[in-house]
Amino acid sequence: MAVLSQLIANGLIAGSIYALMAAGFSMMFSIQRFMNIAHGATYVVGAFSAYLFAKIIGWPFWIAFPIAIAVATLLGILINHIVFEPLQKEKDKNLALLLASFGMFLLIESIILMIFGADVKSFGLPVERGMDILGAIITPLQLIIIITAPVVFIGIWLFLKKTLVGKALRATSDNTVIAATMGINIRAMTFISTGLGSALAGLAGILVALEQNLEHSMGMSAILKGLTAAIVGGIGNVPAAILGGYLIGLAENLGIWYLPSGYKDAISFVILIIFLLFRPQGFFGMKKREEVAE
Amino acid sequence: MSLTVKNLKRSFGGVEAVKNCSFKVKQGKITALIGPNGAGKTTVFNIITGIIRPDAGNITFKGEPLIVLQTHEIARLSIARTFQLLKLFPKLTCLENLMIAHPGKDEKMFDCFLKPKKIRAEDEAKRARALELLKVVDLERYKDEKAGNLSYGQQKLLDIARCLATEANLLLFDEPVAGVNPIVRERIKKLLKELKQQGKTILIIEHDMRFVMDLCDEIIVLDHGVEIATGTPAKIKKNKKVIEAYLGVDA
Repeated sequence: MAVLSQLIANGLIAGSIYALMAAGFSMMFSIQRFMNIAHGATYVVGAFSAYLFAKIIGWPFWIAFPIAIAVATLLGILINHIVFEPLQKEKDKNLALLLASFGMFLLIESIILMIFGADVKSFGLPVERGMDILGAIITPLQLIIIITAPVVFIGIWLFLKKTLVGKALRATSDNTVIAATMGINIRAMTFISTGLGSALAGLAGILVALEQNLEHSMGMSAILKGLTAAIVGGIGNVPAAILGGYLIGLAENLGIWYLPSGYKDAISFVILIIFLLFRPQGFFGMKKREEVAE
Repeated sequence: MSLTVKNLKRSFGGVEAVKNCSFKVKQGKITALIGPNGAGKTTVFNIITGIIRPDAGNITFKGEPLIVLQTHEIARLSIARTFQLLKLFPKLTCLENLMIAHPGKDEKMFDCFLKPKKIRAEDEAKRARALELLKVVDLERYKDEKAGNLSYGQQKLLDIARCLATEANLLLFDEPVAGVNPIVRERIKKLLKELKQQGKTILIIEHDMRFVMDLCDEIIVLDHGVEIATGTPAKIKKNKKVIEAYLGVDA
């Protein structure tokens, strides 16, 4: 029983991070329709900015972390503005955007490596005694992760469901051309979705940096898991991507009940392949909608 | 004059969909754009609303040039349209479909967080207006239903209502009665007449000639991307060039 509780708790912790990545990724994908790999770099920048402000400069967390999230947000918006937006006009834009986003990912990762070096860093927080919750040992920090993510998700859900901007985002994701004929400024929608998505990546980066360590190369596994979660949930649908994140997190951690723990990644990607083969629209996705062509 | 189209040209690869097309749409009238399939009617609509850029030519709306503007800017100049193939937002409810019209007019994203009261008031006004429009097209009871679940005729009506929700003065309808049953067709006809009485300018593409002849003040005929005739329904019925365009020269 204690083992099961512990695995579920670990699953929720991992799932929270995956879900944050997947939600941001999906939010951007739903408007721009391309795989933004650079989202992984935004996550790394979120983590290292937090490290810079809180650990190196020594600001208190409550100042350092919001600023780190702001840096991540700004970075996402800036990349979109300088690199992706001009490419949107290209004929073969999906391939161009995918390659460009991968290039941006590598560039930013290298800059982080140049500035901070290759050694593993940590916030060096004092090790706290875990609490016993239903047999699972959970540290206060882990509890913060488990609670923060759903609070953020409820906020996003309310934003998308209740506000006019949220409705406009959903309309744009349904059909960009029609949304524009209704007077919705597509550039503004891109700006908002990129900003929000990047903020989520920044938050995920900070949470992981606190809980584990920081490495310049931490972005790739985060974007791969986020992408996997987004596809498994149903690509372009933010709530589905969130559930996909938890699904992957739980599956990975419950899977190692039977398998050696080194197989965690394998479990995620096997699930991804199964979904791509048999249910490409995702767990919660509808059948593919028709195209916009007139 | 409400809308003026001058020497419009647009080709797709080797096909000249619109070539040197000129016409005018009068303020406060119902005008029909007719012509055989492939005459370039929908392309003209797409150019007017900024979805497609023309290769050459000019469009002005109340003296303002349109072709330099982006689609959402044109929409905010008070031009709205419906689509030939239904293009509602299927995952949004009927009410939401109507509420998103022109959301960006004076809403800033940060207002959502900083001025919730102001946003809530605007939201309520939009909701009230949307409900009113649902009443007009008799879809009130489906307000919380996803638009994708409505029948074809109901979706046609909702599309028209969404067009009205923008409060535009120039309304472009692309085949508003194609494929709908006679009852819905009569309801749409009545609705368009009411809109005209309210002072709206309406341009429709339609293949249903009885509908067009009954309803329209003026008819513009396109063939192979060129305007070949303009006039009242009575005049167009007798126009030789129009009959040739529809039936072939040897008919």
